[in-house]
Amino acid sequence: MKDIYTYIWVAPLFILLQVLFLNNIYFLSYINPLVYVILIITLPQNTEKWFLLIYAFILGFSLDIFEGNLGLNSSALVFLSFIKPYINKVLIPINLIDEKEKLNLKILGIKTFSVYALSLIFIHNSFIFLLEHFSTINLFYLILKIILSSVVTYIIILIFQLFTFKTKE
Amino acid sequence: MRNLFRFVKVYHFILLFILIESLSLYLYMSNHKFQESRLLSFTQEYTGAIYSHYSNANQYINLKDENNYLKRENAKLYSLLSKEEYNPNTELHSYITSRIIKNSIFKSDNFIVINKGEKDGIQIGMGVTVQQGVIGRVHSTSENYSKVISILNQKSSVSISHVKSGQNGSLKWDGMNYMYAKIKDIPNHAEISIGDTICTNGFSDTYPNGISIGTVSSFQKGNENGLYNITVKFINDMNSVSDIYIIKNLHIQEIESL
Repeated sequence: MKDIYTYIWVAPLFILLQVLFLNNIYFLSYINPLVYVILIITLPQNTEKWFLLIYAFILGFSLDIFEGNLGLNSSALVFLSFIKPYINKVLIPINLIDEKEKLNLKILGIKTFSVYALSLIFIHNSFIFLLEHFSTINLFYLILKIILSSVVTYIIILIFQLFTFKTKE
Repeated sequence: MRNLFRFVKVYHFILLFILIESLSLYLYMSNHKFQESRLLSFTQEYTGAIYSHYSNANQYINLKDENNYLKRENAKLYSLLSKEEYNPNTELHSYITSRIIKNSIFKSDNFIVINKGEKDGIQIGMGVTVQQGVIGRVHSTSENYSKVISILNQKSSVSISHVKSGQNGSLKWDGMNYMYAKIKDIPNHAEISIGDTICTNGFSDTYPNGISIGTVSSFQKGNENGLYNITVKFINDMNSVSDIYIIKNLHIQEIESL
């Protein structure tokens, strides 16, 4: 239970980080890192499914209120948290970790974590950018944006993970 | 009844997902139209307060540059005052100064939050400009803050004229680069060259006449529809805009009643 509480007070920090800092840094017009996905990625496998959906919705909704497009982030995050259990079954080896462990770099190891995190980030980014550029689909621009943003998001998440483990030691 | 409860319990994940996802998508689709969202303007007060504090802290860093800019602008305005007589009866527009507290430039539909609201007399539809350049149009207001549809928004469209030839057209943003916009409705027979100024033509009552928006950076003749495809480079840098004017058209009631 203690793990869940950290997710609740860390969420506003990530929201403010995304809204006040990351959205204002001009990384060319293609790169738009969305780092708050990490909160959904690292949730343990045994969290109640309704908690997954409701947490994702509240997180996404708070982000939407700041950015002014209601429903964009919330639909993306809810979709992500819906398919997360299925992706967990496919990508995370059963005997590697305990069910109640957080899925972060330290526990999964770099290979599994990379594949897992990158696929979730990729799905989330595709959903958001597809929905955002719904009416004007310039396919090349869209694909480039999805790939570049996913890579940059992954790099930033990796840096976060390395920092949090350094301080523990 | 018991079977129904059992069904809901077994499939609660999928059902809850469908419920929340359709709610989110409904919110998104209904908000995607050019409409004021009451929920957004209610929360605007709170998010506006957070942005206001953050930009106050940020603004302290830019004080020196801002002072220099204000000194230069003062000098320019004083020299204008001494040249012409100020006749308040022919005033068409009054200007309300304000500051941007939240900007965005690389989404496909960008909005700006400013620190003036209903109690300062801001109304929906008022134009927002800087000294040289158009920023957008007021979309919704709350007590202390307003949201402006940025010119970097695929829904916005500014009525412009090409100064050299006098041709009128409309300037739209294509969602890609924050420094360039497009004009697609100036006919092929007009004489266009690189570097020509594009400015507002006062046809809509949002912006006054003659505010320059940008310069032509490239153009192609359209062979199918007889219209140019012109790329315009903005005169102002949308990333660094801070102090803005909101334009109140003093004759708007008269014009709208026609």
